[in-house]
Amino acid sequence: MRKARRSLWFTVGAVFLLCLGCLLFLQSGNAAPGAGAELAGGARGVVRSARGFPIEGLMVQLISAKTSIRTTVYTNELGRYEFPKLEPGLYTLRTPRPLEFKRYLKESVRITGADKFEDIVLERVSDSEFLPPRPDILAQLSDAEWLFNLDGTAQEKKIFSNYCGAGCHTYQMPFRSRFDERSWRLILHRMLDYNGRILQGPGDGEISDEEQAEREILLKWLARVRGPDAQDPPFKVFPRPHGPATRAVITEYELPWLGVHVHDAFGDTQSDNIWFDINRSPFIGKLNPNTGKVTSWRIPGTEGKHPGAHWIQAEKDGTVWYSETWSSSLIRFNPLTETFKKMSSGVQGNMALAPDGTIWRTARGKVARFDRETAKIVETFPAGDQRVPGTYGNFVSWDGRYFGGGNRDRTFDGVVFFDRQTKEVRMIPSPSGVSGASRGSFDPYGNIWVGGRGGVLVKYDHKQNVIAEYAPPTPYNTFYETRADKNGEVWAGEMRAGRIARFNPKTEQWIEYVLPEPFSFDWQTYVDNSTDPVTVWYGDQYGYIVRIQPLE
Amino acid sequence: MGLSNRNKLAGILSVLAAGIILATPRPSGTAVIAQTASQSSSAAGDVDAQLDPYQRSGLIYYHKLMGKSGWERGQHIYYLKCWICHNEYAIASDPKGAAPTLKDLYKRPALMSGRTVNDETVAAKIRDGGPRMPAYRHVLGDSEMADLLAYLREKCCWDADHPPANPRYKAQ
Repeated sequence: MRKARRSLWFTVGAVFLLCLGCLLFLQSGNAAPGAGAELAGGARGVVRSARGFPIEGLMVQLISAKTSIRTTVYTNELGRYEFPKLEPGLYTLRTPRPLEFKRYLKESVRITGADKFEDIVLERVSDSEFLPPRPDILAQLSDAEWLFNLDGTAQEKKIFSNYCGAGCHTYQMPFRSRFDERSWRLILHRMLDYNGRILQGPGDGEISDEEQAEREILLKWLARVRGPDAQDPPFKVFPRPHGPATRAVITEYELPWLGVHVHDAFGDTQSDNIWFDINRSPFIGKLNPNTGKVTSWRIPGTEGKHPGAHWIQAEKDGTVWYSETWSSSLIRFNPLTETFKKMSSGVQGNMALAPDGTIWRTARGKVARFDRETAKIVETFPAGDQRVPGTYGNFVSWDGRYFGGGNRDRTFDGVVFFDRQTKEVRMIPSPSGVSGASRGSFDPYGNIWVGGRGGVLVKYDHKQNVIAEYAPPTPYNTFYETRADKNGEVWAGEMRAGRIARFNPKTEQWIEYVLPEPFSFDWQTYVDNSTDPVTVWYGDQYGYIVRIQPLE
Repeated sequence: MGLSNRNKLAGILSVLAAGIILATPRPSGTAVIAQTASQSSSAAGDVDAQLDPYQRSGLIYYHKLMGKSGWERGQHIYYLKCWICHNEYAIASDPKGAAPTLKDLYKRPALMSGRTVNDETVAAKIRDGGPRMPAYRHVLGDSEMADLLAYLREKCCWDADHPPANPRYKAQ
């Protein structure tokens, strides 16, 4: 009898364990593969098409009613998505950039924990693979998709990319417009012959025959494809992300202003806040990623100069450095005393802050070191008459030994390398001659990586003295900068593709994380190497700050 | 032939377990069809109805970042299409060649052409352009032109030192 009772309880236990196991198995299917525990465990659900198929690579977003912070995840191959644990409260649930699918939007969704949402079932916009040029479709297209779909030869499109894709604005600016040839000529003159991002003062007017010929090709093309009678074609959009590119969490933070253009973002290791500066308004600020709160300071202006900064970087002791691009100034800011020390550097653009506190950039034909108290040049390299170009990008290696810079002009397209120990300066031309090398960083092994406005990443290995270019899978993209992480992987905003690129030099494989907005105007990526996997940040041209957390 | 009590209990538990599993929410549970107000309940030309109000790119593409209509929308149009040439810094850097400031345009006695300043003449100038100004007749529709004129008349001009507040910024 006792034996039979033990056997009964054994059977009961076995059946319950079986039941529990089945439940756990079913639940585990909802989790994104490889998801880190801290980036999962929140609300979840499934997205499928009206025909019943799971949709992979679709973005699903929750917007907090309390903070406006936007959290975006991707569906996996089973159409399943899972958010990180979010603060309980009300959210807007939506599908950003659904492109070939009709949008989903549901307000006032209450989150209490690991809520299971009703399935999202999406209908296609069209039975055709080509999407109609409706307002909602036009507004979701990336620059690369625009250029891919417009009529024109490879030469016409590449010339357009070279002249109009170097930065400053998205392609929607010209492509949503219609002008006659006379007006396009005036616009091109203004955009190409005036100085800087705000087009001050006419340039010197010297244009080579080759450049003039290219300009005429560009003009005729714009007048043809964006002339008064030009129609938008049905659009073929790029494939959705899948596999590793769906395993990330994207968070977007609002800023207190509209119409501002964030330039650089940089992490403060003391507070885990993200410092940022604004390129065309007089503010710097720091973002608290946990709350979304921004603390900002109005920066001192210069009479007659447009306000706005370019580069920003924080030192370990909390001191913040930034450059004011229009007034050619270097500024040191003490957040504790809220005091600014503004110094005239005589140079525009970005600078490089080395681990030893020295400040570098190319200037007046040399690699120059600037004094921290006066911003005057105190050392230049190389000695003698040899001159180096004024590189657009300026950066220093992790150990502070090497300086690097990317340069792009018709006289020299490539990188400048300087060894502070041996005093050797090298100028290394890019393989293509049209890489458009600009800003970048060193990787942990001492290699230079720069973003090329010609559409490639450029690597320079100073040990082998080898330079190489790498093109991403998405066509018609351009780069501007890079940031290498602690593992040697290289991150960069794909300026024309609405994606953040993650390139593994060891395997030469790319992961492209599609963003909730078709823009990805990332002027300087910041990588937080204290997390595993790393956490990536950038400030967008259109006035918000973005965090990318890969799950693997 | 009859089942033992143990087997009966095991059978009951198995059915119970199956019931629990079947009752567990499944990925293909109840569904909500996407809201498609953009397609079903609005005219194709109704941009606001077609756009996702949270998609920033749509607000930028249709100049609605700073307001859906009126001078607020006009401010966005001005910033994107006019300011780059008519700003005070461009004027200072090229006093003879730069485009004129549009501040207090409607308080002036006349346009540079000599024509009286009013909505009709200003709109005509914007549509037709000039020797150094592109013609916007194929770019700005009637509602965009009306919003731009409202801004030029009432609020102009863009002040980079004081950008408008973002109503969506709520963090405290």
